[in-house]
Amino acid sequence: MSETKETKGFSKEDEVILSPTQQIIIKFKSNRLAMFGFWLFTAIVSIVVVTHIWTTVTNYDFSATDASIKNLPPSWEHPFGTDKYGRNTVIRVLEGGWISLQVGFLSTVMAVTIGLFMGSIAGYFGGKIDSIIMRVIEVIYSFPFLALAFTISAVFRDKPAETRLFVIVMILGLIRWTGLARLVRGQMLSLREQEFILATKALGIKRRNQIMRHLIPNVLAMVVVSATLTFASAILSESFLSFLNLSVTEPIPTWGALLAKAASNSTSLRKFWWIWVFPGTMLFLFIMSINLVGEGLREAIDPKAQYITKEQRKARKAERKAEKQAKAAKGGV
Amino acid sequence: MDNKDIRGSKTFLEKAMPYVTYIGKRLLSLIPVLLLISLLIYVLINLMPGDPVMAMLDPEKTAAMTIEERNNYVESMRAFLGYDKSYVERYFIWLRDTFLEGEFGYSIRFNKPVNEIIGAYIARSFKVNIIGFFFAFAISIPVGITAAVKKNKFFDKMVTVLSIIGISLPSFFVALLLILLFVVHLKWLPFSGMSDPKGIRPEWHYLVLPVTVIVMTSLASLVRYVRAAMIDVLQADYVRTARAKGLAEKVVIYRHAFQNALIPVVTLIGMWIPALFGGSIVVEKIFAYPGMGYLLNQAYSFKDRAVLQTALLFFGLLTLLGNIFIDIGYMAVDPRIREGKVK
Repeated sequence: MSETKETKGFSKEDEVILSPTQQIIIKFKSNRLAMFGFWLFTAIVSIVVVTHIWTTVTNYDFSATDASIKNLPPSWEHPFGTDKYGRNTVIRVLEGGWISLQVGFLSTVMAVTIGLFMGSIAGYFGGKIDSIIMRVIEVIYSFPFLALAFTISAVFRDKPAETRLFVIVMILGLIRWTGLARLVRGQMLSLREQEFILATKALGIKRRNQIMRHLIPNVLAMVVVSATLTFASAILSESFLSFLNLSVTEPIPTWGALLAKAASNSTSLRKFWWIWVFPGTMLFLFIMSINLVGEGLREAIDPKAQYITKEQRKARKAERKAEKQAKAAKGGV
Repeated sequence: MDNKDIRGSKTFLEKAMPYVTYIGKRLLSLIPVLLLISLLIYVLINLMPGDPVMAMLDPEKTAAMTIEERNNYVESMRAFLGYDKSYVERYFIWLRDTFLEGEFGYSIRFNKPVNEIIGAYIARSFKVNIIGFFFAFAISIPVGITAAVKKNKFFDKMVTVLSIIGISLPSFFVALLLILLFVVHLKWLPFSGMSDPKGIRPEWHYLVLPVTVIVMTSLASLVRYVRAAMIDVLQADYVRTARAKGLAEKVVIYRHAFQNALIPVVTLIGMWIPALFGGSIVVEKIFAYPGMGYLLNQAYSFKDRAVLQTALLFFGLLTLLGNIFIDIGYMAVDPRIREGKVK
C-alpha cells in the first residue's frame, strides 16, 4: 500500500515527476463526490444543449397550446406532465436550462475577467490605484444585490427578451467580480514581494508581462475554484429573477419562471405538483453538481489535502476483504 | 505579561477611548460612500418608466372632474410630491430630507409618509430573521466544530455532503416543498400571511415556515464556515503546544481552539446584518409575510419611488454598518488586530 501511495499509481520504473496540473487532475479524479458532480454536470449540460439544438432545428413552438391535454399528470407520453395550456412540461424544463446556462456562463466569464483585471492591478501597483479600486469594490459590495438587480430589471421591464437577458448578464457580471478581485488582490500583494518577481524586474521584463505571464498563472487555480462558485450563484440569481418575473418571460421557459407559476396560485401548487417539482429539481441538481465540482477542485488545488486514488481504494477494499476472509476462515476452523 | 498589568491599571474610559475614535473615523468614512450609493439609487429609481403622479390618481375622484379641474388637481399633486422640480433639484431635496430631517418622502401606494409605515415592516422582518439566525447559529456551531474535530470520519463526510446539498437548494424551491408537505398534505400550518382573520391560529404558526426556510438555507453555509475555521485553527502551532503540554483534548478544543475559531464567525454576523433587518424578497413573497422584502416587492409593482429609495438606501447603509461591525468585532476578539489598529 505504501508503495502505491508514493508512486501515485505509476510503476517504479517510470520515475515520473508529476506536474502540478497532473496532480490536480489525479486528485480530482480520485474524489468520488467531485466526479459524481462532474458527470451530473456533463449530463445536464449535454441534455440541455441537445434539447436546445433540437428545438431550434425543428422550430419547436413554445407557445403552441392544446386544450384537450391540459394539466395531465406525468405519464409515458408526457414524462413530466403538461401545464394548464396543454404544453409538454418535459421540453419546457429541459429548454429552461438553456437560459440559465447562457446567463451563468456569460456572466461568470465577465465577472472573472473584471475581477482578475481589477484584482491584479490593485495588488500589483498598490498605493493610490489600490485604494481607489478598493473603494469602488466597497461601494458595489454594499449594494444589496437582489434589490439592485430587481431595480435594473424593472427599468428594462418593457424591453424585448434578448435585451433583458443581456441586461441580466451585465448586472450579474458587473456585481459579482468584487469577491474575486479581493481574493486576487490579496494573493498578488504577497506574490509581488517574492523573489521570482524581483528576478523578472531585474531582467527588465515589462510590467504587463510580469502580471500576465508570471503573476496571474500563480493565482489561476484559485480563480477557477472561485469561478465555479460564481457560476453557481449566477444561475441561482437568474432563477431568483425569473422567479420574480424579471427575467426572460413567456413563452420562453426558464427554471425560475416555471417555479414562479406554482407560487403564483395555490391550485397549481397543490394539485399540479409536476409543473414545478421537475424544474425545481433540475435547478437544484444543476447547482449541486457545480458546487460539487467546485468543492472537488478546491480540495484538488490544495497541496496539503490528503487523498486516496482509485487504485488505492481498490487495494484497501481488497485488503479488508482478505482480512475478513482470513478472520472468517479462522473462525470457521 | 507586564502588558496586561499596564492595561489593567487603565480606567474604563481610557480603555474605551481608542475604540470610540476608531468607530468615529470609520463612521466618517461612510459619508462619501453613502452619498455615492444614494446617487446610484436615485438615478436607477428615476430611470423606471411611468409617471408616479398619474399612478397615484384615484380614478373615481378624477372621473367626475372637468379636464381643467383635473389638470389643476394633477399639478397640485405634482407639487405636493415634489415632482414639479428638476431631477437634479429633487436629488438634493431628497438628500436633505432623508439625512438632515429624517423625512423619507411620501408613499403613493399607501398614501402616507414613508416614516409611518416602514418601521412596522422592518420590525416584522427582524422578528422572523432573528429567530431563524438564532436557530441557525445554535445548530451550526456545534455541528461545524464536531465535523472539524472528526475530520474525514463518517460524521464529517455526512455533514459535508449535506451542506453541499444545503447550499445548492434554492430558497424558493425549499419554501414551495415545505408548503406542499406541511400545508397541503399534513395541513399542520396555514398557507401564508401574518395573522388569522378569524383569530383561530396563534401568530407563531405563521412564523414556522418562513423561519424554517431561513434556517435551512443559511445553515449549510454557516456549518461549512465554522468547520473550515475550526480546521484551520486545529492545525495551528498553539494547538499543538496545548496538546504537547498534556492538556485534555476537551480543553484543547473548547478553550484553545474554539475561541479562535469564533473570529471568522464574527464576520458572518456582520455579513448578516443587512439580511437581519432587510428580510428576503423571495421568501416573504412566497409566504406573503409582510416584511421589508414584501414591501419592496409591492413598491416595485406600484412604482412607489419614495419607498424604493428609502428601502434601498436602508439596505446599503446596513451593509456598510455590517462591514464596520466586522472590523470592530475583529478588534474585540483578536488582540493582534486590536494592538495594530488602535495605536
